[in-house]
Amino acid sequence: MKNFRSKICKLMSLMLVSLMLAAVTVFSVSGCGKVVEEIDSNKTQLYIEYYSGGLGSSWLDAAEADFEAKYNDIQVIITKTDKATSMQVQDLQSQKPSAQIYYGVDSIYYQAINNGDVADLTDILDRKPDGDTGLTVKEKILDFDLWSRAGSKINSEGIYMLPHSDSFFGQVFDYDTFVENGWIEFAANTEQVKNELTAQGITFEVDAITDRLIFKSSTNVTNYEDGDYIAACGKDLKYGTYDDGQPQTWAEYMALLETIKNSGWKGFIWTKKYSPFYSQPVSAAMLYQLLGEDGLKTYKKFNGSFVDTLGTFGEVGATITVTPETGYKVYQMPEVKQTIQYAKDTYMNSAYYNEDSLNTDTDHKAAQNKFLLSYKKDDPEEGKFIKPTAFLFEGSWWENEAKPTFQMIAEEGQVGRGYGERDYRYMFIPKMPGQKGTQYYIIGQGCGGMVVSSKQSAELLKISKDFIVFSLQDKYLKMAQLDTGVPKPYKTNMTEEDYKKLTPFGRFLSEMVNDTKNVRIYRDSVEFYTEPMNYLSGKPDNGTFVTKVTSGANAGVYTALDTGLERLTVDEFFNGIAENYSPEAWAGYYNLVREYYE
Amino acid sequence: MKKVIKQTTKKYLFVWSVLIYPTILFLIFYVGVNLNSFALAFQKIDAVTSVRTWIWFDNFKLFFKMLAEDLQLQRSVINSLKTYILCFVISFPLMILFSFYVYKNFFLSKVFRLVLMVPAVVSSFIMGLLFQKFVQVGMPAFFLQYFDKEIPNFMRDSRYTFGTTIFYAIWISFSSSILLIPNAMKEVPEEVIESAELDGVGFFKELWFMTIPLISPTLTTLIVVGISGIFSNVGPVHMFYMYSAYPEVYNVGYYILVKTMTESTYTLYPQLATMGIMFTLVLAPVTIAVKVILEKYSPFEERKKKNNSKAVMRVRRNEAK
Repeated sequence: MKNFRSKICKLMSLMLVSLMLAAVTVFSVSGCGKVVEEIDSNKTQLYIEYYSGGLGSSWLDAAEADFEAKYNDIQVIITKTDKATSMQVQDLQSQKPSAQIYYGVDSIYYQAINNGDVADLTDILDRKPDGDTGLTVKEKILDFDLWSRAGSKINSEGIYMLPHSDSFFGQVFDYDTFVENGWIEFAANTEQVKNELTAQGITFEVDAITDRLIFKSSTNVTNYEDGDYIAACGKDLKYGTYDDGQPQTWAEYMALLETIKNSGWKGFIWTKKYSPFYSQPVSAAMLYQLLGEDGLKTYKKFNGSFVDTLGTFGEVGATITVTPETGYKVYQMPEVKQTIQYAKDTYMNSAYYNEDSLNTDTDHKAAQNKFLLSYKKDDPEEGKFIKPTAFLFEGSWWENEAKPTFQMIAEEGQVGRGYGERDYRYMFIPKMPGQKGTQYYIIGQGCGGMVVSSKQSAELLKISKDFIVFSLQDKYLKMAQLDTGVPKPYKTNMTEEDYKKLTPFGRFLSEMVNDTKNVRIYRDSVEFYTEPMNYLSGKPDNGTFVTKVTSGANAGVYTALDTGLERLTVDEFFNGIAENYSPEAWAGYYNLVREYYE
Repeated sequence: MKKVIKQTTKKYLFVWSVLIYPTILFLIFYVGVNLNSFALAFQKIDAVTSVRTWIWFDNFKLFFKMLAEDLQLQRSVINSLKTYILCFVISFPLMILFSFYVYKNFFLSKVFRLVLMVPAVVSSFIMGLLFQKFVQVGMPAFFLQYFDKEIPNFMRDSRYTFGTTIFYAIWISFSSSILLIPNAMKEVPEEVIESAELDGVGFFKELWFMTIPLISPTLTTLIVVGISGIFSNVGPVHMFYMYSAYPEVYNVGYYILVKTMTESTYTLYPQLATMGIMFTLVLAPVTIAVKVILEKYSPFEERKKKNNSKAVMRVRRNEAK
């Protein structure tokens, strides 16, 4: 018996040790499930860590292959991960980082930048990825001023981070549905409009029944096809572009919402589950548009002045000066209250929102589905479960993300509603009373950066920089955009053929990003880390619309407009922001930053 | 000598090969993490360099300031206590009653067992989602269709949100207890029960005077574990509301979670670590005291003592003989 037990023990031990060894071998060889490239000992290895989210990686794979072909003594090894940037920063802070180049999901590298963990990339800004006739890296970067501030040290020295990806938020609508329902602003049949169309090289005819203008052809590129109704031009004053047919004033926008409601549709849907990430950018766009560039500078830098039209700080109409020490005052700027009011009037108005938006079980994919399945409203079976909804608050990647739903819809016989078939666009915030901004504001959230580790040999550092310049060639930037529809934060030379490969939403994004005269992309998440008062103070980063109600049934802290405005009045919300950012609370934040500088 | 060493090696190889992995995990993820947390409570983290410096008791002073001024923290503390007390008062007796029902194999007991066990088998995420759908979509539609009555949204209306989370917590807690308690009840000697039944002991008397005392070690464990988690349990709040819960449903576990996840830097971590230590300091003596009291006055322990003393007497008698 004893012998038998001993044998069993031995056998079990062997089995267990073998299993553990096998597990160790499997994990080390496979890299926990990832296929790892075999190391070529005759080549120099360049390791890249790439955040592989919804923005694709085919462009990087192509750049890798071409780079290896060009420099046959270098092997590029890309690890695609879903690591948060904070994890990458920890890796960069270690003695021996696991990669040379890091691509992040966002741009929160300030610790690595200020600690000298990443290399200065200033020298590559003047290099020309597309050859001598092309643009320099610096010229290619969209909003270089922002990225140079975000990429430099606190003392403004150097540029240690370059942009890698862009993503925007807004209210998505189906332009085709809006045309079908007559919800867009059609071009008026007037002599002035006709002259403008002719001047733009557009031929048209007049629909005798509706009195609308019908597109026939154009000498320039437009987003119309023969037979389409021509919509009123937008801020760019051109017909057949991304911003056509949208309401231009707040009154028109409110009238549109009323029309939508009266048609039996709901106005808005979004996911409150991930509040405030989906609805807040819409309100932020309202606020920033109201503030304009000067007001925004005061608001974001806690430095400047504003006119206190509400009399919050005493006399109505007094000019209030804001310094970093009294930065809490910006949260009481009249535009903040105006924004809260507009949120309450529009997407937080029970007459307009789809009730499911406020349900805790509606995540972003459920919101997408509800929006996309609006067309089933008249279906005899499924129609009773459908609340058709006109606007979806979503990020620029949503169409790519919703591919399975598009596929399902197409498989159900609605091929015309499959992926890339419908003309989805963002509806801009129209001109609001008292607004100081002259452009449409769109909020950029989760814009990714790329950095190069400084802890490497001079040779590898050179190779890393070479690779970055190489990968910024127009063909790779375009490839990334064509793959996902989302443009990278670089200027590209998109041809007409390229545009045709994009979905209508992809084309919309491209046109929007390139119209820097009329559209202000405010990359909020990048901007946040250019101001030390934000990240050195320990101030919560969900910032703008955090309110504190100190008494009553609704007492407590509300971290988002959609959660708060369900219960609070506009005044309660606005006054609660003052409670949250009290002078005492602000003094705590300010002192932390001051301590750092001292 | 060599043979002895070889035999000892053989003997312990299996034991060590089994223990080494969990021991490493324990050292890293329990000992290491807690030591780090403890050290953090006395430190400050530089927002840029992440360098930690010792500031000793500053975080503790800040904690008391927060406790005095932070409305949300105060509410979280109250809610955590309320949650435990309510769950204990409502859930504990019901758990015992249902378990006894199942243990006695009464009418439909297997069905009850299956129904109550489902949440333990199905992923908690799925259960949470089903519950949310039922409360926010199914139930209102049902009342509207069959009673023509609009009911409030129990997960959004401030009058009901906290109650809903409590209800869910109680319901979910049934699933684990329905596995645990009946199995403990099965350990009650059959002859004792049979004898009691012959003496005409009824359902409630059997439960009160025999079963509960005999399973008291299991019940003690459940109570002690519950108390130790009062300030760390998040409950269903995160699952229902992610990071934007209504203020009235906050508890301490959720408060710390939200602060950790929505903070842009690590600078707040020391304060949160301090909070953890302070709540542990409050709760640890309570937990230990409850454990000691329950064990001391447990009928099971008394019976054990009596049995032990009887055994000692028997041995002495034999020795005397």
